[in-house]
Amino acid sequence: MLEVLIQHHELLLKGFLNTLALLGAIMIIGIPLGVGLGVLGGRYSKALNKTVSGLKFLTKVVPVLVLLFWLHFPLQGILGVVIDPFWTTVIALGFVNLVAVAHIVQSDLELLPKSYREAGITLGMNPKQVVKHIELPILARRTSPNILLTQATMLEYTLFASLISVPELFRVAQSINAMIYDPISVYSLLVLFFLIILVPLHLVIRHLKNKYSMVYV
Amino acid sequence: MFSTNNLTKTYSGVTGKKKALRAVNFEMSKGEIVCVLGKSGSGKSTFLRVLAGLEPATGGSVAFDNKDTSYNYVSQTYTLWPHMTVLENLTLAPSLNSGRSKNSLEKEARSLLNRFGLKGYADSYPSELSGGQRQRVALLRAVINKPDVLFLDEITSALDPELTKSVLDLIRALSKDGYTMLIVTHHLSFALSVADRIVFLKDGAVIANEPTAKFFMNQGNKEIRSFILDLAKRDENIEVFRGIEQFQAYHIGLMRRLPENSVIYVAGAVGDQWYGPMGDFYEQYEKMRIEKGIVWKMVTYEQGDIDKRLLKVHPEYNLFKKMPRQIQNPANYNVFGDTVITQIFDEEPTIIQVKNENIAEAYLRFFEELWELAV
Repeated sequence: MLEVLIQHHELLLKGFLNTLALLGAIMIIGIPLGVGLGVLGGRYSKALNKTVSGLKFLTKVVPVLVLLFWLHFPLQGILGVVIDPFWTTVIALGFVNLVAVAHIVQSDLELLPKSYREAGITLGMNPKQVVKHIELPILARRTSPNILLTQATMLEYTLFASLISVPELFRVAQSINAMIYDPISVYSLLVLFFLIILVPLHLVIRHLKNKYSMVYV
Repeated sequence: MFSTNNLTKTYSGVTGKKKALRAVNFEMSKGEIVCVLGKSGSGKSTFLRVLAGLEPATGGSVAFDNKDTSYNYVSQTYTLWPHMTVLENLTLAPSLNSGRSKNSLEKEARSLLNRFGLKGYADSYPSELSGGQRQRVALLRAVINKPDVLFLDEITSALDPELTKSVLDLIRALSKDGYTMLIVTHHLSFALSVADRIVFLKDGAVIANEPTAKFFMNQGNKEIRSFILDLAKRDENIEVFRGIEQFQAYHIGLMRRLPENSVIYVAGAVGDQWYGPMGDFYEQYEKMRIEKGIVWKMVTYEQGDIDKRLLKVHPEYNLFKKMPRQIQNPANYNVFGDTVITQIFDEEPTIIQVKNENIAEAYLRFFEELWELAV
């Protein structure tokens, strides 16, 4: 395994960086837009709220792989455009991430008791102070573990990009295996990679969940 | 302090419009404590929420005498912010808006916590407190800024009796500090012990707005009387004895358990009403009373024939005075030890007994005032 790593470290590093770039782009689309959409849907617009719930349902019933293929093949065919598979993956998974994050924020906002806000207002705080000192900190604590968990899932979903020829880590591993035919070493390396990235991430999520699993009292 | 003029609130729902408040006219003076009673759905909470500005009125108005009047609202659901410690909960709002230093606020918050039995909890999070402790912190958070008015909405409804007592004790202590409070409650003995006045709401309208003593002890409205009896049954400090047999047994039992040389203070509207329901048991009662040297100290508007006879036979055990008609005595009650009773001389005579030291003390003070004015 070490031999494979040393011999093909350049390729593996390239695949690793591509995977990180994919994940980074998916997060950049999904987190800020998802939080924004979730806040709007949870607090200000019932129509948006229903739209987010509808899209969440859609992403539940349409498998991510099907969505990715649909965007990559038929849609581009219909529109007569060719988009780089990397960006097709970013759009597909970015959309799934955006909807998931928006749904998390929206649901937690809906669960946030109105009485917290009312207590602030009756104590003389203005709406901005209530949002800054009460609602946002509580919301951040409530949503961050689930948003992080979604990002871990997105990392796993990046594997699907290999099926539309994005040279991410899994695709690179497949190529290396095709050259040297040492599946045990190659795929063990891949397992190791995911363990190194995802185990600490899940431990962080668990820690945050325990720390912030406050009862709404 | 403030008043409402034809205050109206209507909710629109799937089943149509529902009037939660119907032209409520109400006034409150500085330092006054008013309890709002009424069945569930009568508009009590809506009334407080509209007054506190949490919901807009559909019609009418609320006018505060002074535009700088400050008020705080504490609701039946715990509203402590869960991401902050008790100390942070107490000091956040004033630190943002009052211009007071953080140090002075923290000092005051700690002193409040110490005074009301929450010493050592300043750095705890709400989830680490019991329900009663949380509600007490919520109350202290509402008073740290020294608001002019406190609106308290069923703040003990989610608590068990022991925790309820700790919260009610805190409100009693705050009432002694001179806070103006409008309180929605279903605790009869609590309302009796702190309220200057009771407002009764039915279907969003005020159908009674009377001094506490009159409301409980001399209630003319049958519906409210039945409501009081229902509440009394659920109040651990209150017992109801209904019917001739229970009425007689209560008084005979009272004579047996009262210590020798006790005094029963009686404030009554008219004389002689009591002897009828006692029937044949009156003689037994009277014999025990004289043997034990128990004194009746009584003020009434009129003295009946039996009263006059007692006054002649045993003047040392019957200290009777008459109240001039112009003296307002809204109540009809007896006080002995830590107990106050009111008696309803209906077809079915009824005794409502309230066993509470604070209430007994308050009624005794009221009795002494009447005694001074009577001749």
